[in-house]
Amino acid sequence: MARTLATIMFALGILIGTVSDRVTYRPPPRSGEYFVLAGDFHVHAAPGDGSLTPWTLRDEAARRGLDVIAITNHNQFLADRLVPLLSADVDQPIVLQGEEVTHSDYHLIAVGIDHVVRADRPVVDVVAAIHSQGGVAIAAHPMRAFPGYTDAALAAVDGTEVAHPERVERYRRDYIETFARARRMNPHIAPIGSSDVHNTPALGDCRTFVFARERSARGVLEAIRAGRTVAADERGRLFGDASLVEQVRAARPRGPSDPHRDWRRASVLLTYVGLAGVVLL
Amino acid sequence: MLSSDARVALRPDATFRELIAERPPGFWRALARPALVLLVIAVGLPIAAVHQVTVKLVLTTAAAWSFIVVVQMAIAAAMIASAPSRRVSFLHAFDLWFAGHVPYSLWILAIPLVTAVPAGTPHELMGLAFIVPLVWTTVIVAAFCRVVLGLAAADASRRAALHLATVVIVVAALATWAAGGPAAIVSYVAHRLGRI
Repeated sequence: MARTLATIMFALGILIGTVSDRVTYRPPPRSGEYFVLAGDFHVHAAPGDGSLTPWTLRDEAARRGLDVIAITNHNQFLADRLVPLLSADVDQPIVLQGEEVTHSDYHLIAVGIDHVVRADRPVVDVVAAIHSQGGVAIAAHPMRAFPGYTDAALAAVDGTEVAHPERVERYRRDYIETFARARRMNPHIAPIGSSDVHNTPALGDCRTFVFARERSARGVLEAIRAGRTVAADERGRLFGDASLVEQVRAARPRGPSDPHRDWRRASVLLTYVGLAGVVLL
Repeated sequence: MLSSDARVALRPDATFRELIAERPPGFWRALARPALVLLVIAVGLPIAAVHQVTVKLVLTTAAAWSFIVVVQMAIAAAMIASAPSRRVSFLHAFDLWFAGHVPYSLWILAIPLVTAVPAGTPHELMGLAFIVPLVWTTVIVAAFCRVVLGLAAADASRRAALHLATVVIVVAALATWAAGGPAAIVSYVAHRLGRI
């Protein structure tokens, strides 16, 4: 009897969650000649060290008000192989192939590549390998403890993560100082905000606003190369050129959308309790 | 009140003795418990990651993580097939092997609770907590070997230790692959320790 009740709760929870899941992708705002795209360029996926597949991450990106995400697993491309299988739907966020090139001296995000980049070289050489594939290179959570981020390395990358959901304040200061140092050598370096999400509901908590001429992978990569980005952290702080920051504020980009919050919560509760009941009763 | 799986977790020897006396399952029935394990993974991970559960989320997550259950099935098959003294059929033993899933299932079901805390440290906390199902399941495997496979206590303990070592090696290999290689693991640990 108890197990039957638990099974009914479980099934009802999934049914409510499925029926109430009405995600509609909302087109990005414009600012002058540019689309103001919201992006998260540091996302881990399954198979790999993320929980969710690129399919479900794209749905979640739409819920979170993102226009573009990049799949960036550590030194591997397995989940990226699934990206070309996604339907080419213009009413869905763009999903880019990428990698977190992971070395003991640095972590470097490659976005817009089509095969794995080996992590056996200094940053400058890895950046060259990424550029040779048409991708962009972003210094990932560049804390001082990473000796790979020399001045030459920071001059070579296209962007640095200045907004990252780091719990240690000292590291947050490192990211901001690294960005300032990189800007002195390369005034067009792109400020990047990324969630580095693995298995928590944090997709897009830190994000990058990209001023792209077209809503496409090419448009996004061109904008990052040109440094037309603004990074936002989860506390609402914006980093980047003052004029672009003002344009982001004026464009009022969309945030997360949760139109059926109560139904979603009820669905999760019923499913969770029901499943626990099926296991234990 | 408690399911037979929960009773296996709490009193493995006594419960396995009860279960081997029951009617053996058919082929499809023997797959029910592995399917439940996959369902726990396919529901627990999306709830943790996006606080949402839909049919699409469950199906795609099940597909992506089904290799975990396949690895467990392979380990179970090897363990059972290499014990000719077992007291039940292969299928029956296979079904009872998966009755020991509760420690790992509870660990997976705890992940959404941890990720629901904004200031939580899910990776480190869940990594440390993994020792609980690891040890708990070793106790269950030893009981399974004694009662279901009919092995002597010393042999059962050896097999439980072998199972523990196999799980640790498989998990370590997967974690190393997912993290980007051994150097990346060393770097990660060094940075985490640097915070202390």
